[in-house]
Amino acid sequence: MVTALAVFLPLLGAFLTAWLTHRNERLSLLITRLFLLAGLAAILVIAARLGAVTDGGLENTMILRTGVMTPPLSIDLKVTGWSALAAVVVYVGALLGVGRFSGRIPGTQPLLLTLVTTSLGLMFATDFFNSFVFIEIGSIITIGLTAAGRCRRRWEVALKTAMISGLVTILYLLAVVIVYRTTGELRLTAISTMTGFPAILVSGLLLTVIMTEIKAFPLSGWGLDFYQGVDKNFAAVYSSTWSLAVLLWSARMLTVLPLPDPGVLARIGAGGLVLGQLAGLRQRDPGRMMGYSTSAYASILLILAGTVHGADYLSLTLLFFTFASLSKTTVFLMADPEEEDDPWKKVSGYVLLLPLLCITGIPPFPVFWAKIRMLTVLADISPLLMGAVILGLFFESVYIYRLWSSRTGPWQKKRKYFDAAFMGAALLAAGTVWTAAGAEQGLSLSGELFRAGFVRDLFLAIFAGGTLLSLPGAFRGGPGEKSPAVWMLVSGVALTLLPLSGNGLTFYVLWEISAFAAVIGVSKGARPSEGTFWFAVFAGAAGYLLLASLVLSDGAVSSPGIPMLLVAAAALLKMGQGGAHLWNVRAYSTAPSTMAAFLSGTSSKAAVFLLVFSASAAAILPLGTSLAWIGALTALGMAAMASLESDYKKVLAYASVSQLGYVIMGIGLTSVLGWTAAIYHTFNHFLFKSILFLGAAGVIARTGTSDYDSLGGLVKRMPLTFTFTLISVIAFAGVPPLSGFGSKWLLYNALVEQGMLPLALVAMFASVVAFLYAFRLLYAVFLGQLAPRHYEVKEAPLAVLAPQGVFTAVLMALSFRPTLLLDRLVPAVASIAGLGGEIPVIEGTALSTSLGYWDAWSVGMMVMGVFGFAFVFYWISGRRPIHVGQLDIGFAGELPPSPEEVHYAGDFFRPFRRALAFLPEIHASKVFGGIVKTADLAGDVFRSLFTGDARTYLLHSLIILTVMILWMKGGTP
Amino acid sequence: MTRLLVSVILTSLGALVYGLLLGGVSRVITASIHGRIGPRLTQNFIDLWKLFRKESSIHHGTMFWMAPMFRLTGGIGVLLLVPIIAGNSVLTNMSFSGDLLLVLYFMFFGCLGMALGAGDSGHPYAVVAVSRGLLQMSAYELSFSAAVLVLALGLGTFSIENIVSAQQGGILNWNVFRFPFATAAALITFLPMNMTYPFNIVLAPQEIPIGPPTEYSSRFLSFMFSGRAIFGVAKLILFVNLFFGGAGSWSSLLIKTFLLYMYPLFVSPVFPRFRTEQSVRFLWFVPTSLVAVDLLRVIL
Repeated sequence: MVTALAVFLPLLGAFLTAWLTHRNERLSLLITRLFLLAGLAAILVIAARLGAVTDGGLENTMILRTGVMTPPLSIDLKVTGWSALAAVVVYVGALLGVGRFSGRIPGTQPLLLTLVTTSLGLMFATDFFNSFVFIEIGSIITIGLTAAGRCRRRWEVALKTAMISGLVTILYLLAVVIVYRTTGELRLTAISTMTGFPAILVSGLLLTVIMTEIKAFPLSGWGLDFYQGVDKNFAAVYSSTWSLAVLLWSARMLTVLPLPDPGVLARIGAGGLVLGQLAGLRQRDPGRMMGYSTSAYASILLILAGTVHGADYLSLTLLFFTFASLSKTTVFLMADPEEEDDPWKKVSGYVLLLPLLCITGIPPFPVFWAKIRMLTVLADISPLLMGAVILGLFFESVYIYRLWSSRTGPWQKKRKYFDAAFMGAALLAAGTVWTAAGAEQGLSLSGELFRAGFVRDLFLAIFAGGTLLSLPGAFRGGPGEKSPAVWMLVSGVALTLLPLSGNGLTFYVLWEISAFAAVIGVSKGARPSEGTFWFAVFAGAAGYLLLASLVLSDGAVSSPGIPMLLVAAAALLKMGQGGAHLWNVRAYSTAPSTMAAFLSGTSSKAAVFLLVFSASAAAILPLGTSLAWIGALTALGMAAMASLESDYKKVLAYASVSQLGYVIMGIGLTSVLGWTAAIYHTFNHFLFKSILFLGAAGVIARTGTSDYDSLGGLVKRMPLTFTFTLISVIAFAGVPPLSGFGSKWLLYNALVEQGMLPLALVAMFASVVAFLYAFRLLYAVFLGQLAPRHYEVKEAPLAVLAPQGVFTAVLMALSFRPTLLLDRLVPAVASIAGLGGEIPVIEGTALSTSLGYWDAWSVGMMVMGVFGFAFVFYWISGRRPIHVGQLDIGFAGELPPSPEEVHYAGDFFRPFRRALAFLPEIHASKVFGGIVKTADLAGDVFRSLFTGDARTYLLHSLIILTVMILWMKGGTP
Repeated sequence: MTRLLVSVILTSLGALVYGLLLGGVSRVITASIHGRIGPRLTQNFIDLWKLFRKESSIHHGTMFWMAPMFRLTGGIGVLLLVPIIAGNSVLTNMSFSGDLLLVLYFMFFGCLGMALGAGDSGHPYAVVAVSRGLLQMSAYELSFSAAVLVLALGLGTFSIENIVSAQQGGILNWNVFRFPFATAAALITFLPMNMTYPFNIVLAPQEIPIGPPTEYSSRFLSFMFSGRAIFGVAKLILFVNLFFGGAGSWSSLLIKTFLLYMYPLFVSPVFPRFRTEQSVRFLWFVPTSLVAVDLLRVIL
């Protein structure tokens, strides 16, 4: 009884509302909602009875007979735990969308309610003819509701849908005829026993029908047009009802198709995923993006059908499609119903982010659990197939990030429209918690994925300390920025937990949470769009590489060979090495300054941590020398770029990437000296980059600009910021007695130890070029002439100043007593298996190798002593001079015109630019622009399939049908 | 400790006197090349004393104020880190604190301080000179450090003491003969290091009055003057130690450093000044290519 209610209540409601519509719209809408709620309650009861959420509950079955006869003369429905859960989503989707859709286009309630019953019917149908009836009704309602908007564009879409439905009907009926003729029955499962040519014919026909209906590439053209042109509120309802029903019906059909080799489904799916998503890369229309995403999920269905079986198949299809459908519904609900031209203008905020992250399968969102399970299965079958799927998913994520970054803006006024979207997002959030709690491979923070010890604790200290000290300044954004504090905290907590991960999956989940929380943090900047997008794309790419490595190495963070290479590539991307600095420069310069401090100072160390620990776990680092070269050339190239750049934050971004080059160089050497240098420099980098970016945050907060040309002379107004910046600049330039020299000393020893002189030379050149940007930074911002508009500028806020003080104190302690760190670091690194070479000797405050020696304490004392002597001598040897105005300079006997004209800051190293003129200009933006263009061009080839003309789409279906039948038939007569 | 302190003071004062004296010699010789009578040998001492006794009555800021001290510290520091006479335990000074790498990097200390002072002065010419100076420094440091690295790899040490002892036992053991190309490169970089023609783009008279110290005068300038003199001597001793067998005695130290000091004097007056980018490119390619020859010899 309850089953019947669950299916047919909406139909009953349809009759009632058909009578009420145009008489009392409000009552009609209320009744629609009530019937949907009642149906939802009924299906929840059924799901509970079937034990759908327990282990094995997905396969439990309940049969509903609606007549005394057997199908096809009556309708028999089989409700399983699996389909009952999907039915819950159908109801939820209809409930979310009905107010917006039927509220705006009156008279649509009866059709909408019928669509719900039809969707449920199709999901539960057991027989070909029943299915046919539901497909027909569903298609007709879809066409009707599409045209209901009464505008030309909607009618066009409806007509296309009608033409496609017509072809689907013909092909489907042909298949049914053959099935009945061959087997004598119409049960859906009957076809699995078919053999010979009829089996081939039926497989071909049904596969074409399924691919067309679920919009799998290359038969997805009509779906793209549909999602682009249809009323967005109807699209919201459609995604969770009819679209989901068709997917689940297809999921059942695909397992019984009498295909000669089911594996071919996976290949069609994977190929379609890569090519289809490649075609979508260039997409800018949110509706069409959702169309491409639908096509991606259709391909995933084909892949699953070809590779996964049994209970896994049920749970994976359910996880993938219910949550993707619900996410899509939520996204569509965010379009503004009142904007006919561009309903997407007002899409904004976190409510949009949640469904989009769900769709892309970022952890811990529900689809992620399905994705990783699918990839694990694929890795066992064929790593190539897995690679293709990851590539396709990456392409999908690229346009989804674009959708997000291009639609993120201030929250718009017409908030009342988004109630349903809020509810959808809330449901997704609940689903996230639920699926994460019930995940098959649990998350764990106990266990020893990473060897406990000093090195791990050092990284722990960096992550926790960096987060805590970057946070105070983040509560108030700079000029035009919003506060990134919450997201910095989320990202920082995830980072801090990284070293404690109990298994590879936990590490990956934390890594991704940290990355995407940081992406949101970056989006709080004053002009975020481009920086956010590129950051998201690179973070996404690094995440997918890590995921591939994880899946290939069976849950460990790395194992020798390919997985380790993938890890190294992910780490390089994350650190902006080897040309990947594009994201660093764009994200750091557009992010809130404190967020940039966190990213550069703290977050980038996650990549070092990953590289160090996975290489030591695998006891191997393939292509170490190449890695070292990448690091060296990055260090040099970025230092040169930083010298020629005139934006404070961009300079720091280039400098940050450049300094990380030394770390990569050290790691690539795989020697005790090299790794000691790398980790020591990592800690140094953490200190001085945090100081520099926080200093920049203070300067920008007070002056509102990061342009060198507009700054200058701030030492007079911000002496503390200048002092901290000066100390960190001297440190990173490697000038003794400050701590940056120590890491360089260790690094050169490591390089010469291995006879890598050319590499040492590049490193040394890079460190000398670093002087150029180091001085320019100090001069252009703090020295020279103070612009009159900055006469009243105050010292930086305490929230960024105090953390700088703490960092500086640690930096100074480390400068004079590096053994505080090295005493523990050297033995810890020496104990790592697989590292060769000499172990540096520490005696008291001195450090020595067979090549040389260095005693930071005595150098420090010498400098202090001589400087102190000179200072005191000057002080006592005569009168103190008085401070004069900044324009009081020898200027050919004239008064200088104005501070701005005298301040020589723009294009400071012009001769350097001229000296470099012989080099070809290679810009990362151009390289990546080229890659993007190539991908776009390749995508255009496939995009050109989608002409927008329904006749082409019909032709595609027929061609696919013919090809499939010919291919399956092979050489047999 | 007291011995160290006395040694440090004596070394610094000695270097100052020697440096000023060498400056005087160079002024006399340059004058005779020009056909002038020129200043007397002790003119530099007189200048220094005159500058020191004049009060500096104005300054432009803290960094401006501290730059002369930075300059002096940089000069004395490098001097103290280099062992003066091989085997003489009295004059090792602070050389136990670090090896050649430390000396190389510490050489930037004074330059950076000077540059900061020039920046704080707010005078555009001073900063133009710093921009030129830093660029040129980045260029000659490439080839100089390349030469030093070749030595370190060839002799298997970064310790100056060990480099000197590796050259003992005959003139042919000197690095100038063992690594002739690296030495030649280092000698080329010696010219821009001492800011002589054709590389004197930093002080560049006629273009930018006197470069970085444009705004400095009197007592401030006397500190810089002293720093520069001491730094010059420190560089001479370093070069002697690295390439010319080091000094086993006072006489050999004086002869070698004097001859080395005279070398730019006879090279530079015949060249016009490079433009900055010409200097930079020359230093990137010519001396570095020379080092590459020795580098290949060492590696192969």
